[in-house]
Amino acid sequence: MSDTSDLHASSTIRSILWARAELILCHVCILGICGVLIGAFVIQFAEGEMPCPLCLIQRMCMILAALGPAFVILEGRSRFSHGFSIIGAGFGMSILAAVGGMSVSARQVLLHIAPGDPGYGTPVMGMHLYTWALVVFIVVIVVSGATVLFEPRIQLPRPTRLRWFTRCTLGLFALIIAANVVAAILEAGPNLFLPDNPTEYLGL
Amino acid sequence: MIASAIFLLLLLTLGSMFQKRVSLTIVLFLCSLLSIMLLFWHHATDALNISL
Repeated sequence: MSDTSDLHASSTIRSILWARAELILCHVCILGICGVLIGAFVIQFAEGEMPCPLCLIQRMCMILAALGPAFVILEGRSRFSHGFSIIGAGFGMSILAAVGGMSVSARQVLLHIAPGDPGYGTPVMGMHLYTWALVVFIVVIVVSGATVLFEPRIQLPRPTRLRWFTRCTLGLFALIIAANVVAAILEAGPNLFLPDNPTEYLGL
Repeated sequence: MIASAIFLLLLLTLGSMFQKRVSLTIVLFLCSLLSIMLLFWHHATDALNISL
């Protein structure tokens, strides 16, 4: 009898640790992608480098990939919702977005792969931004796949109110998406599509 | 204009998550993904004159 209760207690502790680790991982994923997008803004506005259409599409895919962990954080109080496994749906969203983003960044890498090609923009720590984007998308796929693989068997209920760090993380994420809306309007101006090699803000 | 509309769609997707509307979130996510891939298709095939 004692052995059974000990086993149950250790299983519950393991579940609590899994749930905590999963929540922390989701926050780290969102903050990591926010950091990359803030870095892209610094290069765009502080160093005056205009993002090309493919760069903006990679930003969209990064935001889309971060929506998966946001979904897990906001819906993760229940294991299933509307027939969806929340962790499966959230990280599935991330994997789909990362595969899309990876194809975009791989295409841009291939566009500048010829010897002697200087590439688009200034390299950061030895690699261009689209190469870093490819690395980010590969990391997202690996982390999402591993999370789904080691999904905890028991989902424990979480507090119904969002904690301050969750509100800060999601608020920052929403702010970055809104800033991208404004930046895209400024860059494209009245045009439907962005020019291939933008040199000025057409919306100013 | 299309790029900013897609960013707006992403913001709407996040908003629907806050509203706890799971089905709407999934639909908006798929719409965003499709729009992004169509925009990529447009830019990738522009030089070949077969873009959308």
